[in-house]
Amino acid sequence: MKRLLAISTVLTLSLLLNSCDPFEEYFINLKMDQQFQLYGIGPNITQQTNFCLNNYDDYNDNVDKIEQIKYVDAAYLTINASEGLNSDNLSLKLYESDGNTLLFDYNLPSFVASDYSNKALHIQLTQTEKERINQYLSHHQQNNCFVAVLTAENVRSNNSLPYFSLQAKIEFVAELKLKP
Amino acid sequence: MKKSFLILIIIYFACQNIFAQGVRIDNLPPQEAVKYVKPLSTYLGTFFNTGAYHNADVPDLFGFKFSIVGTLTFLPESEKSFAPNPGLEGSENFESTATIFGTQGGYFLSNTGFVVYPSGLGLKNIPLGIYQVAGSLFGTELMIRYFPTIKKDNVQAGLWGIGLKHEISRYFPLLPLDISVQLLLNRLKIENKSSDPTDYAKFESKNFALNVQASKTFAGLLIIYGGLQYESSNLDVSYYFKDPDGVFPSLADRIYDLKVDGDNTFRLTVGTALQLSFFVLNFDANITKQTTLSAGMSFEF
Repeated sequence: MKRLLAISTVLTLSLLLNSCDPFEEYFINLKMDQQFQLYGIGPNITQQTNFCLNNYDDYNDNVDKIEQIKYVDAAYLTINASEGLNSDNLSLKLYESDGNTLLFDYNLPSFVASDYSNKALHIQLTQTEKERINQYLSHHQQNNCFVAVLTAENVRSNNSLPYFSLQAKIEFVAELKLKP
Repeated sequence: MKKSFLILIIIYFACQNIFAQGVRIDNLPPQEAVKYVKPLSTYLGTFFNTGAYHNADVPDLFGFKFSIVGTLTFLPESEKSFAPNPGLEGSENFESTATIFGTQGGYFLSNTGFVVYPSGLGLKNIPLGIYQVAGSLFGTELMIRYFPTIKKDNVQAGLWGIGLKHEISRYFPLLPLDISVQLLLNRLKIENKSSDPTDYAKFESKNFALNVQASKTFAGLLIIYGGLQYESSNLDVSYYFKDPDGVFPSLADRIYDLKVDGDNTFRLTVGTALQLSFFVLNFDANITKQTTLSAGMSFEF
């Protein structure tokens, strides 16, 4: 009788104790949009923008639970542009918050703005570039700001006036690994 | 009393978790939201249809029972992710994404940019408890589960359940086993309603089960029991679709009402109970889509 009672108690306690930690690590994808307004008389038009992870609610809501942040992906989309705008090269540079330490430099030769107004351009980085960003993000409590520079080089358009404009969006996706 | 209070707290906070960070059904269009919450519908059906019996014997005259039941449900990997199919042109990188119980939300590149799916609760298993009272007369037992609707912040939750059981072996006195049939109905309602209509979400779980159970009592002390149960579950979900990625403009900014059927059909239960005067301790295993262990403590006479 005592043995049966002991076994039942152990089973019940085991069930309760094993149930205490039902959670496991989970991951949230943080999407960061950055809009650019490039305009000027050429030949190059450029804009620099600064942004920080704490501009985004998903980061702020989970900042105390973040174990790791990893760069995942990026894309470019044209929102609006001078008619027929094209350029010899579209360059996207991402720097650490100091504006000097380069994390990646992506270039697209023979850029035609309208090609990416209905079809996002997938920005694929090298493994080394991804590792550089991830190294910077490994101290995200301090290193959570970036400087992004978008440049269209040697721009041309169908406009008779030598004035060019490009409104564009860059999206970055990062993965937040969260403690249970 | 402290334990039953604890069970109430567990149920309440489990309800609150549904609205926790990362669980963003409001980011999903209706066809994807159905796949995201389907395992929850299955789980609620599994949970509410567990722990309703530990003995097929129903007293011939009068009986009373108060039970606290703890359950532990193991979530199979197949219930933690689903294949997204948003129906958008030009989509790339289709990967599986988390259901409400999963750990990793997916993402893909559409023509208009990235579409990010929500994460889940990141659960390995689900422990949850419930209490129930039952009274019987002339071989028929009525079981009741009830949790009053309470409100904290913007979330209110409440549940009720009934079970009706009749012992059929009382008509066949020569049978070596006690055999009963039992019908179960359970409902749970959770609603998140704030002054901001875009935060609105409602989950209403409706569960049904019909079982045939058998038990044998040895020396008035040890009960071996088992049963075969047909069951079904349905989850009515209402939520406001926000379309944060701006890729479903024709579907965005309205409340959707979904009906999500759980994958609950049949279960096999085997268990044992120890009868110690007025107290009964029981433990059983439920073989179903989401395998569940259950342990109970009852005061009964």
